[in-house]
Amino acid sequence: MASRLSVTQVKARQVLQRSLLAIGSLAVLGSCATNAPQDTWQPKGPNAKMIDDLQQPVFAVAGIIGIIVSAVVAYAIWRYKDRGQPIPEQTHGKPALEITLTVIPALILAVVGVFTFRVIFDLARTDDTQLVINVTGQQWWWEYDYPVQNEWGITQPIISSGQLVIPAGVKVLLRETSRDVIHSYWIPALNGKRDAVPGRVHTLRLEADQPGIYAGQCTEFCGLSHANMRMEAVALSPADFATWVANQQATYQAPAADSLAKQGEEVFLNQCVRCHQVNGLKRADGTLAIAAPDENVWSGAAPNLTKFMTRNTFAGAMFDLLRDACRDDVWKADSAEFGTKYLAGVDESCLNVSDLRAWLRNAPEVKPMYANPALLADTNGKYRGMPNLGLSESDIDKLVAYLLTLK
Amino acid sequence: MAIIERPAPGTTVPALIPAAPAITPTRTFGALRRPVATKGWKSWLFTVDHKKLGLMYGATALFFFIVGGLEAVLIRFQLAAPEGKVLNADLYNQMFTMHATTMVFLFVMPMAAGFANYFIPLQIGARDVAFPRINAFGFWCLLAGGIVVNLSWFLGGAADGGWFMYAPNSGPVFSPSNGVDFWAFGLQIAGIASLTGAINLIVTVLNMRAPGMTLMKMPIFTWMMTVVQFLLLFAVPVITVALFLLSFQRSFGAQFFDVAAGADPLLWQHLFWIFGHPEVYILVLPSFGIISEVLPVFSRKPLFGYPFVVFSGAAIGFVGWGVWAHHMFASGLGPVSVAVFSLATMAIAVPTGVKIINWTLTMWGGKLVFTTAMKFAVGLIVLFTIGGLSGVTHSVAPSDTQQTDTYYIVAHFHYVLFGGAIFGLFSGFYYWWPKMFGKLLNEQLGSWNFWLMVIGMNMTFGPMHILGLQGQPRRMYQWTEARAGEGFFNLAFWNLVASIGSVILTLGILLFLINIVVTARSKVRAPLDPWNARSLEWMTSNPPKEHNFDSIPHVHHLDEFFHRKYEEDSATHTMREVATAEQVLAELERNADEHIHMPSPSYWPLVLAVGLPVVSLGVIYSIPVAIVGGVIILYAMYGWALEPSVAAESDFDEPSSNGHNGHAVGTSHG
Amino acid sequence: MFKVGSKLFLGLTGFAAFNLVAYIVFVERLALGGVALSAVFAVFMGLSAVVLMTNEGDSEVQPRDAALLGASMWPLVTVVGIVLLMLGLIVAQIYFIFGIVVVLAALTEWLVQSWSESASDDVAHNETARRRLLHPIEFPVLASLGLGVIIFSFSRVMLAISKSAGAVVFMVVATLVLMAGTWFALRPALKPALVSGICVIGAVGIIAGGIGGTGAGLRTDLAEAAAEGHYTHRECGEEKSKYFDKKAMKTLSLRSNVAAIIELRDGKLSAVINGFATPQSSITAARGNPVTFVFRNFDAKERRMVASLGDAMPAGAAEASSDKHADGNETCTQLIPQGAEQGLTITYNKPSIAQDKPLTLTVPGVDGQSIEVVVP
Repeated sequence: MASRLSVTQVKARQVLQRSLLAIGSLAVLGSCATNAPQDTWQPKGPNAKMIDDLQQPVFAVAGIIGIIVSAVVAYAIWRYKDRGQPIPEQTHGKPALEITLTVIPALILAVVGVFTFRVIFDLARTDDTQLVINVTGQQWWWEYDYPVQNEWGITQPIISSGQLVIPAGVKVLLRETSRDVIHSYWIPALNGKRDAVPGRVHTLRLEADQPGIYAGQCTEFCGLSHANMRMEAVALSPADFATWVANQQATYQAPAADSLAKQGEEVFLNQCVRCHQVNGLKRADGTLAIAAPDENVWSGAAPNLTKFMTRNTFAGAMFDLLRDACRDDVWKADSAEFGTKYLAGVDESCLNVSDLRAWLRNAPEVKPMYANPALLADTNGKYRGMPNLGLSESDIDKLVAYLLTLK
Repeated sequence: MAIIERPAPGTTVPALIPAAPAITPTRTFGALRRPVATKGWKSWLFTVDHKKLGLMYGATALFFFIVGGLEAVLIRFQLAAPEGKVLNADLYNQMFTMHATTMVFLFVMPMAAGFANYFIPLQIGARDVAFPRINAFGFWCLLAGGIVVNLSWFLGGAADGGWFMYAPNSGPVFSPSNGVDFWAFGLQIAGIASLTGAINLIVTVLNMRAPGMTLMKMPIFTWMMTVVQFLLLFAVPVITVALFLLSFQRSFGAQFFDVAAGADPLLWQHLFWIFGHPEVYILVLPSFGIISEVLPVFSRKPLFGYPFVVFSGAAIGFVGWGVWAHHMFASGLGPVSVAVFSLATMAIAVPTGVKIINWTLTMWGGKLVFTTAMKFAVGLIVLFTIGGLSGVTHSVAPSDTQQTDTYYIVAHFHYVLFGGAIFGLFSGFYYWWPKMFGKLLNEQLGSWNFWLMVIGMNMTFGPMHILGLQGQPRRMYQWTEARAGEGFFNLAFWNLVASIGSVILTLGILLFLINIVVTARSKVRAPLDPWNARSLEWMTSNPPKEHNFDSIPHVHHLDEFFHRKYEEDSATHTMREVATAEQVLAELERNADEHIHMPSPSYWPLVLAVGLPVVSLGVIYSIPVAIVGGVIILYAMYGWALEPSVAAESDFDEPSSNGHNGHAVGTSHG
Repeated sequence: MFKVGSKLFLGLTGFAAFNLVAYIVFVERLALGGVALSAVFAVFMGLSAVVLMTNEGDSEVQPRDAALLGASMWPLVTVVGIVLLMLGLIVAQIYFIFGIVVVLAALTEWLVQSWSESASDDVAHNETARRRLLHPIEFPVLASLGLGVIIFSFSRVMLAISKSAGAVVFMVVATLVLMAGTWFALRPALKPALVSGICVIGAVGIIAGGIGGTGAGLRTDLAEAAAEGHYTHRECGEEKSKYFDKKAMKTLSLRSNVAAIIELRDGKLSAVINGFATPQSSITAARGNPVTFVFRNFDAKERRMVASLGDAMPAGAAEASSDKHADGNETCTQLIPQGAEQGLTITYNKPSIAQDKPLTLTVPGVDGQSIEVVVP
C-alpha cells in the first residue's frame, strides 16, 4: 500500500510540474517566436497594445496564484498522506485565516478591476475618429464601404470586400452591421473582436502602427462556411492610401474590342451581373448594368467586383488571388516596400488561376454554401452564397481574362 | 409494494374486515390500476423509488456521456490535421452543437440529478423524496427529451447552430433542417425534468430532514445540491421561454428575433445567458458538493470552514445571476454594461476561491488516504483552479474580446467542466459505488482510469490555451496551414497533441466502463463502511433497503455517522473508536419503526412523459399527431390526479399466477 | 295513473302553455320570445309523454335507499341550455354556441353524478368519487368564468368614465380589496357568512357597475377615435384627424446602435452618426439590410420624418419595412411633438445609382432641408 501511494505522489508531482511548466512557458515565450498570424499576444496597434498591457499582468498574477495553489496541494499530499498517524483532531476551521485568505484575492481583483474599467472606456471612444468605414457582414464575406469623406479624397462611395484597406497610423472607426446572422469582426493584431449584429450598428476602433497586412477571422458562429469567413486588414502609408483611394474611384475602362476580355465582359453581363456590380459597366445598349442581388440572394447583396484585381483574395478571403510565391512576396515585405507591392495588384503571372477557375466552375463545391436549388423552399428560391452557374470552360477562360482587367 | 408491515412481536394484528357492502368502493378511481411488480423490468418502469430513479438517471446520463464523448472524439479527429476531411462542414456543425448539448443537458445535469435523487434522501435521513411520482415523471421527461434531441440524427440532421443557438442563425432560413426544432422541443421536455426535480428536492430538503438536522448540520453535498435546485428553479423557466419563442418562430412564423419586423437579435442572447450562466454553476456545484464529502472522509477530519463553504456556495448562487453578460462582451452592449458585468465577474471569483482554499485546508493536517475517489477529488482542486484562473483572465473584458470565441475559452471551460464537474462526478462514482451496488469498484483499474484521464485531459485541453491565444477561433470545421504559423506555438503541432490527448482521455473513460463490468462480475461484496465515512447515507445497508432506514436517526452532529463511531478523548483531543459501523446499524434496526408507508408505484408518470415527445413530433411534422399527444397528456394528468399517492392494498393489478414476473409463465410452459 | 314523475312534467307542460299564451296575448305575437316559449312547451310535452309511457319516475319500488339520491339541478340546466340552443337557431349564432356549451356541461355533470350515485352503497364514498372526477374540471372553469365576469365588468367601468376618474376608481377599489383581504387574514375567526357576504356584495357591485358602464358606452374621446379609424390611416402628409395613433410615440426600444439619429432643430435637419464628430448631411446605408433611423423633433410644431424609398424599389418591398405607414414609394414616422423621438426601419434593396432621384429623408413643412441616403 505504502509503495503504491508514493508512486501516486511522484506522478502527482510530475503532473504539477508539467502544468506549471506550461503556464510558465506560455508567459515567457508567448511574446516572441514566429507565431500564427492571428496571435493575440502580438499587438501591432495602440488599441491592441492597450489590451495587451492590461492582460499581461493579469496572466502573470493568475499564473503565480496557480503555482502557489498547486504547490500547497502538492505539499499537503506529501506531508499529510496516511503514514499510520492517528485520526487528527476534528477541527472545523479557523475563521481568521479563512477571512484573510478571502480578502487577499478580493483585493487583487479590485486592483485589476480599476484598470479594466479604464481600458473598457478608452476602447469605446469614438470622438477621436479620423476615418470612418462601414463594414457589413454577410454569409460568408465582409463588405467594406467608405462613406464620402473629402478630407481623404473619397468623393464618391467606395465599396470593396475581402480586404479592409486602411491608412497606417490613423484612427479608423469601423461601423459594423450584418445582413443576415451575427458575425464578429476580429483582427487580433489591431483590436479585440466586436459582433456585427443585424439591425444594429456597432463601432470598433482600429489603428495599425506600420504598413502591413493583418489577418483576422469571423469569430461568431455564422453557419456552414463560418470557418471560411476570413478577413485581412491592409494598412498602407497615408500616401499609398491616397493612391489606392484614387484608383478605386477611377472610371471603368472597358476591355479592348475583339479581345478575349471583351467576350468575358459579355459573359459577365449575361451571368454575373445578376448579383455582382461592376461600377460603370454598361450593357450593349449603353445603359448602366445594375446588379440585382436582392432578387437572387437571400441576404440581399453580393461582392462588388469593381477593381477586383486590386484585392489579394476572393470568396470571402477564403482563397488567395495571388499564387503562393507572389502572396509571400506581399505578406513578408517590410513596411517600406509593402505599399508598392500591394498596390501593384494582381496580374496574369501572379494570378492563382486554379482556385479562381475552380470557384467559377462550381463554387459550392469548393466552399460549403446553401446553394442547392432543391433546398431553397424557405428562401423563396433565393441563394445563400454563389451557386453553380454551369459555365463552360471557354466561358471561364473569357471571364478570367475579363476579371484580370478589373484593376 | 406499498406498505411494509413489520408485525411487532407478541401482538396479533387486529383483523380489519369491513362490513362488505353490496358494491365495494374499489375500482372506481382512474382507468388503470396500480402496477405491482417488485422485480424485473416492470418494477423499474413504474417505480417511484428515489434510489431506482437515481440509478436510472445515472444510467441514462452515462449512455449520453458515451454519445457525447464519441462526438467529441470525432471533432478532434477532424481537427487533428489541416483541411480535415473526417466530417463535412454541415456534419461538423451538428457535431459540436450536439456534443455540447449532450454533455451539458444529457450528461452532467442528469448525472448530478441522479446523485441528488439517490443521496439527498439518504443524507437527510428521509425514506423518499417529497413527491415520488413527480420524481419518476422528471426522469421520464429527461429520457424523452434526450431521445427527441438525438432523434434528429436520423431524421434529416441534428441541430447545427451551436448549443448557444444564437438568433437569427437558428431561424428556419438559416437552419433549414428540422434539427433545431428537435433540439428546442427536446430541451423543453428535458427542462421539465429539471424544474420538477428542483421543486421536489427543495421541498424534500426543507421538510423531510431527520429530527435534529438543522440546516447547518446538513451534509455539504445536500447543501450544494439545494443551491443548485434553487438555481434550476429560476434558470430553467428562462431558457424554456427562450426555447418556446424559438419553436414558435420556427414552427409558426413568429418574428421574435426578426430585425426587419423591429426585433433585436440580442434578446435571444440575453435570455440564453441569463439561463446559461447560472447553468455553469448548476453543472459544477454538484461536483463541489461531492468532493466536499470525499475530501473530509479521506482526510479523516471535517470539512474546513463548513459555514464558509455553505455560504460561498449560496453566494455563488446569488452572484451567478449578475454575470451573464460576460458571455457577451463582444456583442456590442456598450461600455457601461461591459464594465459592470466585468467587475461582477471578478467578484464571483472570490467565493469560488474560498472553496478551493477550504478544500486545501481540509487536507492540511489530515490523514490522507489516496483512494481513487480521493485522487479524483484532489485532481479537481488542481484542474479547477487552472480553469478558474483562466476564467479570471477573461473576466477582464478587453482581454476577453481577444479571447472569446477562440480555443482559449474552450480550454477554460473544459478545465472547469471536465476538470471540475466531471472529475467530481467520477469521484462520486468511486465513493458511492459500494453504497449503490454493494460492490467496490476495482481500485487498481481506478488508478489507471484516473491517471489516463488526468493525462488525457491535460493533453487535450492544455494545448487549447495555446491554440486560442494564437488566434484559432472555435467552431471552425477546418483550419488552414496558412494561418497556422511556425515555431513552438504553431497550431498544427498543438492541434495534433490535443487530438492525441483526446484518444488517451477516451481510453481512460473506457477503463471506467471496463471497471463497471469487472466489478459487476466480481463476487466480492463491499464491507458495510468501506471508507470510514461520516454522513448519514452510510448508516444504511449496501445497497440501502427500499425504505432506507429501519428507524429514522436523531441527528446531533454535522458528521453524525462519524460521531456515532468515534468519540473525542477529552485529554488528548484524539479520536477513539467506540462503535463499528455494524454496531451503529444494528442499533437502528433494534429500534425499527413498525408501520413504514412507502409511496406506491404508478403508471401515470411514464404515460404523461410519453405524451410530450408525441406533441413535439406532431408540431414538427403534422398537427393532428400533436393533438393525439395532447390527449395522451390530458388522459395521464387526469389519471394521475385521481390516483392517491399511497394506495389501498386493493388498488393493484392482480399478480400473475406464479409470481410477479411475466417470463416465469413462459418457463413453466417450456 | 298519474304518479310523482308524470305529475311534475304535466304540471311543467301546463305552466309552459300558460306562459306561452300569456306572452302571445300580452307581449307580442309569434316573435322571438313566442318561438322560445313554444319550444319549452314542446319539450315538456315530449318529456311528459315519455314519462307517462315508461312509468320511469313513477315506480313505487325504490331499488335502493332513497337517501342515496340527492337533489339535482342538472335536468333544469339542460333544459335552459336547450332553450338557448333553439333561440340561437333563430336569433344569433352566439346563443347557439352558448347553448351547446351549457347542454354539454350539464349532461357531463348529470352523467357523472348519476354514475357516482350507483358506484357503491357508501354515500360518502360516492360523493368523494364524484368530487374527484369533477372538481379538477369544475374549479378551473368556474374560477375563470368568475374572474372573466369581474374583469369584463370592471373594464366596462374603466372605459366609460374619464381617464382621471378611472385612476381614482381604480385606487379606491384596489384599496378596498386590499383592506378587506387584510382584515380577513388578520381575523381568521370571522364568521364565514360575513366573509362570503362581503365578497358577494363586492362582486355584485362590480357586476352592477359593469352593466351600468356597458349602458353608458365608451367615453367621448375613445368613441371619436374609434369612429375615425385611427389605426388604418396611411398618408404621410398632414394628419386629418385628431386621434391618430400616438401610442408608438414614446415606445422606441432601439435607442442606441442605430444607423443615424436625424434631428430637426431650428428649422435645420442634420444626421448625428456615431463616429463622425460633426452632424452630417448624408448617410451611407448598406443595401439589402434593415437600417434604423431615429427621428428627434426639437421643433415647436408636431413633425414627422418621411423617407423616400426610390422608384426602383421592387414591388412588395414597402411591406418588408416594419412601418405600417408605408405608402407607395415613401414611408414615414408618425407626427411627433417637440422633444419626442421615433424610429423608422427601412430596407434599401436597390443602390442609389439605380434611382432617378436621390434617396432622401425629409420633414414635410420644413422646406429646403433634406438628408441624402447614399446606398452604394
